[in-house]
Order: sequence, then structure tokens, then C-alpha cells
Amino acid sequence: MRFAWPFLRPVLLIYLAIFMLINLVMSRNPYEYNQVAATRYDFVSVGKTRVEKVVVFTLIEDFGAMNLGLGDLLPDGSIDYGRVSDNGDIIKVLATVVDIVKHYTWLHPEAFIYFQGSTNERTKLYGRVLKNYYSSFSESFWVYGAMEEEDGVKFVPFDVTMSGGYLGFLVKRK
Amino acid sequence: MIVRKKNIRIKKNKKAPKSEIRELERQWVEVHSHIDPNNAPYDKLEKAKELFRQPSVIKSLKELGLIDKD
Repeated sequence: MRFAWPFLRPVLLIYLAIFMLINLVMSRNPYEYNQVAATRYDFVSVGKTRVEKVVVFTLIEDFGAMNLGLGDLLPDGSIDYGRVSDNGDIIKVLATVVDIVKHYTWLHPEAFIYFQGSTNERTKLYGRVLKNYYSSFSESFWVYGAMEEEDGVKFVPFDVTMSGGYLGFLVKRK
Repeated sequence: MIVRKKNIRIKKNKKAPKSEIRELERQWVEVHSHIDPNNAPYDKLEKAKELFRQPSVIKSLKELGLIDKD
């Protein structure tokens, strides 16, 4: 098959495909959420099953550092932060979490939102997710990573070229 | 200068490329279901509190202008 627009080179087509894929992913509508308390948001993940999810912001330090926790709401009202829903809608769930962070930081622009995985492996994955969506996320947020250096742990601007090595991530509304 | 444009032959890829979304979902389920005994889950909030108590962390936040230098 001969291509109709010969001025478009394959490399350009690949870039175009990647751009369209990213846009497709980013345009996935997040779930609707409810702010049920000053620091708590609920939403329902509807994938293979129906899972009630909870996002909780917990104060770490008085200067406004808040820990971001995502968990599943259990029938007894408690929150399980370690459970694996495997509901087949992780992109939509992540998009909802980003929306919630945007809402929370719109209400509290001075807040720093900190998150890390409960294992090193999970933290690495969160870094990869952040790296994939950095271009759109960085439009609204400053993003920093905690790194172990010779003179202790430090926050440094998030570097998309790094493959890992962060202990956690901090975001702040621009 | 005349630039001769090449006709580009596009090969039809019969096998669809692996979806980035599916790959992310796979990794997500994998890291959240698999627990390495040498890398057991820790209390994130306690870890975060420990981290933010470190003088080097506070110093770096001040250097980045995220908190007051006083």
C-alpha cells in the first residue's frame, strides 16, 4: 500500500501514534467523587466488580505536608490500604486520584502532597506512572522526588530521565 | 533546490502492539499482589513521618523554597 502523504515520515507517524495514545489514556474520564470530610474523598470503581475506594490526606508535618493514601472501603467502614482490587480500571482510578489531588490542592494551595509505595517495588511503579504522565501533571504541579544522597535524604526536582531511585514523591500546586 | 520526496511503504502490522494501559495494569496488580519476604510492606505514614523529620529533608525543602527559611 502506498502512503497518501509522502511528506510524513515513519518516525513522525510513530510520534503521532504515541501522542494519540497518551491523549487517549489521559482523556479517560475519571470517576465522580465525593468529598465526605475535609481530608477524605470517596468514589466507586466500576470494573470487574464494584469497589468503593477512599482517598485520605493525613497530616505529616505542620508546615502542610500531607500524606496521600488510596485504599478500599471495607464493609465494617475501615479502610484497607494494602488490598489489591485488580478491578481492570487502574487508569481510571489513577485519573480520579489526580482529580482529587487537584481539588484538594485547589482548596489548600499551600499543601504539599506526599506519596510513596508501601514497598520499594510499589514506589518504583509510582515513579514510572509519574514519568509517563509527567508532561500533563507538571502543567498543574511542581513535582519532587526524595533521594538518598551522601549527606542524607533530600527532595530534588523530579527527573523524567531517571529510571528510579526515589524514596517517595512530593507534589505542590503551581 | 529540488527535494525528491520518497514514497514510503507502510507495512501492515498484523499483531497489535501491547497496550501501554494493559501493561500498566499488569504491573500494578503484580506489585500489589506479590509480597517479597525481603521487601515486606511498611507503614507508609510512619515512613513519611520519619522522612520529614530528617534535617536534610527540611534543609532541601527550604532550598527549594517550599517552606520558610526561618
